[in-house]
Parts: sequence; structure tokens; C-alpha cells
Amino acid sequence: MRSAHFSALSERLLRAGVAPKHVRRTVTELEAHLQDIVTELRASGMPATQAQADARARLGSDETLAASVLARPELRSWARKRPWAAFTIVPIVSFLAAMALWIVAFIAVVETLKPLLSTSLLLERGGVRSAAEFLFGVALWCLPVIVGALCMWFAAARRAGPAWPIAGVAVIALVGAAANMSLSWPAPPKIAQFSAGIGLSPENAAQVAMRCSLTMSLVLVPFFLWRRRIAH
Amino acid sequence: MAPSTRSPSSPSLMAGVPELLLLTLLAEREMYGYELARAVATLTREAIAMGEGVLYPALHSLETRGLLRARRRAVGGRMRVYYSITAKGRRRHAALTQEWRRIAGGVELALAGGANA
Repeated sequence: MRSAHFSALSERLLRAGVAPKHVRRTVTELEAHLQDIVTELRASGMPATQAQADARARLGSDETLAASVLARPELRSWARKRPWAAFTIVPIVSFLAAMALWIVAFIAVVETLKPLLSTSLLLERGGVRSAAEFLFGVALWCLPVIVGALCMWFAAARRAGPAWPIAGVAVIALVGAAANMSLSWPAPPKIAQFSAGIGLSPENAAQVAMRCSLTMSLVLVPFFLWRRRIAH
Repeated sequence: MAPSTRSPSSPSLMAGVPELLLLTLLAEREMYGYELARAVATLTREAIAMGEGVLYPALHSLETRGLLRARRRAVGGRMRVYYSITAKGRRRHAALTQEWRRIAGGVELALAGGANA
């Protein structure tokens, strides 16, 4: 969305809630149009500086251009029209869907490798168990951060206010921290058992609070640093 | 669409005009923004003065409503967005043209009546 001539317009439209895809397209097309007018004026013998100025005037002032975009509500971002849905419901559903997909993928891999996994050699080495625990860790610690970061990136690209995105990240961080996965893998002939759930109890409250704070810090600190840079 | 020397057309009278002009031009053939701006200026003999840039929100709006479709094409090293009319756009164009003729005819009659009164 960087533009030599329309960066101020671009920022203004984003802040007013215009969908980033429309802002990008508008700016790209205005740039191309400007170059076409300059080429036309230069071909008629006009000096370069004068041609640039005339071309910019022919396109219309930033004020006129912004007004013509803002007069069309259909070009506004749906996330700015319904921030409560975009920054809380969508991220939570995405997070739960990502967790579910991860579990399905894990079970599919285990089912596929069943013949290998049932050999005592692998179990004795404990490789499978360690790998599973590592993967659970990745899912439980990284998924909330990834989904939260995507939520904040989505908000930042739309120049949305911080309240709803922070609320969304807080809920994701809490649900992610309260989520758990475990695997019990006794020696054959007993079968392995996988369990996953979301639970909050006095026993795990401290751990949940710590994980929740860590997720929020990892997501929100870069967001606020970015906002400060933009504000300056 | 004329250069800035001309005073801008009255916004209240211009409502709906860009949509009608764009659909009229695109009903003929596929065009990109600059081409459309030039065509509007030529077709209206520069009677309608507005910033050429205001075409784009109008085009995007028509596309969002399914009246136009857009495709990107690289021409001479430049990326251009070409617009073409859809079947829904053609129906809308026919309806708008009919409505415009009815209104313009009515206004003409009223103006002629006023001049004769």
C-alpha cells in the first residue's frame, strides 16, 4: 500500500474503515492513471514538473477522492462494521477449528503409523511419547499465539481501534491456556488413549494465568510497538 | 471529466450519472480507468467536470454490486485493471437508461414550459 503520491490518502481511507483491498486497488489504479496523464501531457510538450502537477489536479484533490470513496458504504470493511464479530467470534472459532484440525491430523498420523508404533522397540526408546508431548506443547503454546497474532495483524491492517482486538486476544489466550491434551500409552495389548479438553480449576489456575499472560504479552507487545511507530 | 479549469458539476444533479455513463461505455467494450475517463470526456464533450480519480470508487462499487467484473492485465510493463459489464450490469444499464430518459424528458419539458410562461 506504499504509494509515492497517495500514501496520505491511503492512510486516511484505512483509518476511516475502508476495506484494505479497496484501498490497495484504488491507490494502484490512481498511480497508473496519474502516470497515463503525465505521459499524455508530456507527449503534448508540457515540462515534466508542470505535467505532474496538472495530472494530480485532474485526478482530484485528496479531499475529493476520499469523499468519493467514503460516500460508498459498500466499500467499508465488514470488520469495521461489526468489530465484535470480527475480533472476538471469528478468532475464537478459528482457534477452536485449528485445535480440532490439529487433533484430527495427529490421530490420522498415529492411525497410519500404527503398525510401526506397536513395536516394542519404538515404545522402549520413548521416541513416540516424546514426539507426541512435543507436538502437544507446540499446539497448546503456539496455536493461541499464532491465532492471536493473526487477529492483531488483521486489526492493524484495518487500523481498527484496540478494544475489540484486545478482548479477542484475551479470550483466545484464556481458552488456549485452559486447553489440555494428554496421551496415555501403555504397553500392548492395552490400547493408547488420547484425551483433549478445556478446563479451569483451582489446581491449574496459576498455570492458566501464567500461560494466558505469556500469550497476551507475546501478541500485544509487538502490536502496541507498531501502533506507537504508526502514531509517530 | 474535464481539466481543472472547468467548475465542478453540481453534486446533487450528478447523483447516478457516473454509474450510467460507466455502464454505457462498458456495455460497448472492456476498458480500464484512464480509457474510461478519456471516453467520458469525449462523449460528453467535457460537459461533466469531476476529478478523474472519482471514477474508481464508482467502478469498485459497481463491481461489488455484481454489475461489473474486473481483471488485471499487464500492458506495456504496466498493470492495468480492465472492467467489463456483467449480465446483471446490462439489465441495470437498460433500466437506468430508461429512467434517465424519462427524467431528462420531464425536466426538458418543464424548462421549456418555464421559458414559454
